[in-house]
Amino acid sequence: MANRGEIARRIMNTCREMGVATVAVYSEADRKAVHVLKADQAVFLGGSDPSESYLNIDKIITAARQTGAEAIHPGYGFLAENPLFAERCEREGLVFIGPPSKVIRELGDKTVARRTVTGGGVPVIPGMNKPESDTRVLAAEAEKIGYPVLIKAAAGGGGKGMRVVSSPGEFQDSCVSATSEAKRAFGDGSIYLEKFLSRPRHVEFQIIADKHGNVVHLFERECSIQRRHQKIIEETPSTIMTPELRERMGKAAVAVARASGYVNAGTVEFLVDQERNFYFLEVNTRLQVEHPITELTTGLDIVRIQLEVAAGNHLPIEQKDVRSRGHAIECRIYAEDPEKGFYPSPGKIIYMQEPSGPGIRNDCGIYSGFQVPVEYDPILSKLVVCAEDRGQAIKRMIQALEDYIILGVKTPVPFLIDVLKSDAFIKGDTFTDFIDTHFCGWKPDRSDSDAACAAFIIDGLTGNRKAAPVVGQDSAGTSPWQTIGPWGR
Amino acid sequence: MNYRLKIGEEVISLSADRKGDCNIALSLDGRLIDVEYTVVSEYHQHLVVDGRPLNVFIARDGNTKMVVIRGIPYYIVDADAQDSSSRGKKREQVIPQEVTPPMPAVVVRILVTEGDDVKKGDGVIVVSSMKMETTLPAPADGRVRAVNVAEGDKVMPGQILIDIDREAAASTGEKSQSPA
Repeated sequence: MANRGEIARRIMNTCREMGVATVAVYSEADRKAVHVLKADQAVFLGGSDPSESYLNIDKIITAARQTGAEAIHPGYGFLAENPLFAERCEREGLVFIGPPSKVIRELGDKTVARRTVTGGGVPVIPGMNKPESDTRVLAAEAEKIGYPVLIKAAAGGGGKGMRVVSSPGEFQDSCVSATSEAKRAFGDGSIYLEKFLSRPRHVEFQIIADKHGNVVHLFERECSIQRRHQKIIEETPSTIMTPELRERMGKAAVAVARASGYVNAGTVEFLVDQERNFYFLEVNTRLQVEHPITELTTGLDIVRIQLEVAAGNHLPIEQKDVRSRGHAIECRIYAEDPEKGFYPSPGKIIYMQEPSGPGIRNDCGIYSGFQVPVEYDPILSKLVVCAEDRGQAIKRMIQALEDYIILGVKTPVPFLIDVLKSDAFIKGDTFTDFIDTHFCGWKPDRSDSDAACAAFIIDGLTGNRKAAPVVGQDSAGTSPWQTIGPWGR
Repeated sequence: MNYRLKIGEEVISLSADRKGDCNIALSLDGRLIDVEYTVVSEYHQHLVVDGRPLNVFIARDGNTKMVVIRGIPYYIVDADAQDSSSRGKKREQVIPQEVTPPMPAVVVRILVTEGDDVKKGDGVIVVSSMKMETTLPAPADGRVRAVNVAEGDKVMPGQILIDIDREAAASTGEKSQSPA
């Protein structure tokens, strides 16, 4: 498992069910992380900086060799979409659980991907078809495309290296910071431009292909609720989907897989505009963070199919056998402060209590006492619910969030509750600008302050006075943060 | 017993009377609130507030307690204890006076060098926490005296990353309009 945290643990669950032994790798900061505690074996890689551990190809290959591992699952992030890593596995005779390196390379370069899928007859967003580093050339392209434009990293997604530029005045600075961020995140600073579509929906299709030319899609996921261009709530089915649109988009997703020679699990992302036109965005050549909602509605274990396909077996299902039932929602629980622009809130988990009940799944990378490292993505867990229909799923998620107790770091739980209770969300009025439109400057409704005061006093009366470390304390007043990441307002 | 509790910016004055083993009465804004309680664990109380049952979770950090009710966090400080321990310091806490990260972070880029003149609010250094880049601003007009860190350094809240000599009342007009 060339990854950490919740995703490493989730993959190990399936491995264990299949009788496949697992090897975890870990960094200094992760000595007590969930994936290390779960694995059959664990190998220490080195320092906490990803370059010394989870991004270090040599060390990971050595760990695989030492332990006699036969296959490597890259999870998401880190080396998951690095063609050099997949290629190295191929050369070393290790099975890489993902697409061939050639496919990762071609689709990983977003501009090559645009050319490939255009060849397959799939519509793309107007913009550049090759990366560029000369800001003068980029500025000229921006003029040609017309502001607002979106700067994107050619090498990866997740909002890293992405900037919306609305006027020529900000263009130069945005290019410099996008390049720097892309270089840090992906080791490659190339950028390109696309037309910035206003108020699109982000709808993606799960695909999975075997080595024998069979491809199926497992329907869509709607991922429009984003902050800083990172998804925070996902659901399936999408509220805009009609059987006819699903059919067409599903076909396009499969066409993308065929045009690129795809093998294993992947996600074809589309933007859908107000008139329900869809445009190819990119392919994520890996297991997607939000894959659990698809698993809950289709009843399939995507990781199991990944392992089967990687072993050379045929897909266990045909398109006509893929069925979706009910409605699933995922909320990403990050260590971040929703009252202050979602800025990160690392720290120690003093206490936690996970929700449980019918249709509730929590893919979790933390526990009481765990120190959330500052070096990695702030995702703590993914809370997923499934119910008969969307209305029930929303109610189930609200209850699960209310029952989810994490003390010690700030989380978006109160924010997510309000989003799920909002009319806009209930109506399915979900666009990528949802948070800015409906929840700008959001504060929680603190109407239970009487009870909170009572709890404070009772805590003192009953002798629980000893100070525990690091509760993220609010100091009132101005934040010293000038900009909160690339999308700070 | 009387309390002054601060929740966010609001200070609430109330009194609490113990009525029994697991029962207190709060008096607040002329209202009487009956609270039955069960301490489930160090972090968990079950309350019945005027007949309404609630699970309440609580963690402590010095004077501050984080109380979570139905997913909503409340940060509560004993205002009397706070006043006596930090009187006079308050202003410093409110207005960032130094270039320091509010949380553990790694230095990504340094935007100024020694001797540079900066204006209040200019970005002087970019740090990254949990993969998110953030630009820290100059807290005041002045001149960069020293850059105390290098790119790649791990830095902590309170650590002064860049020293800035404040302009000694160069323009009195500007001075009067800050702090905002």
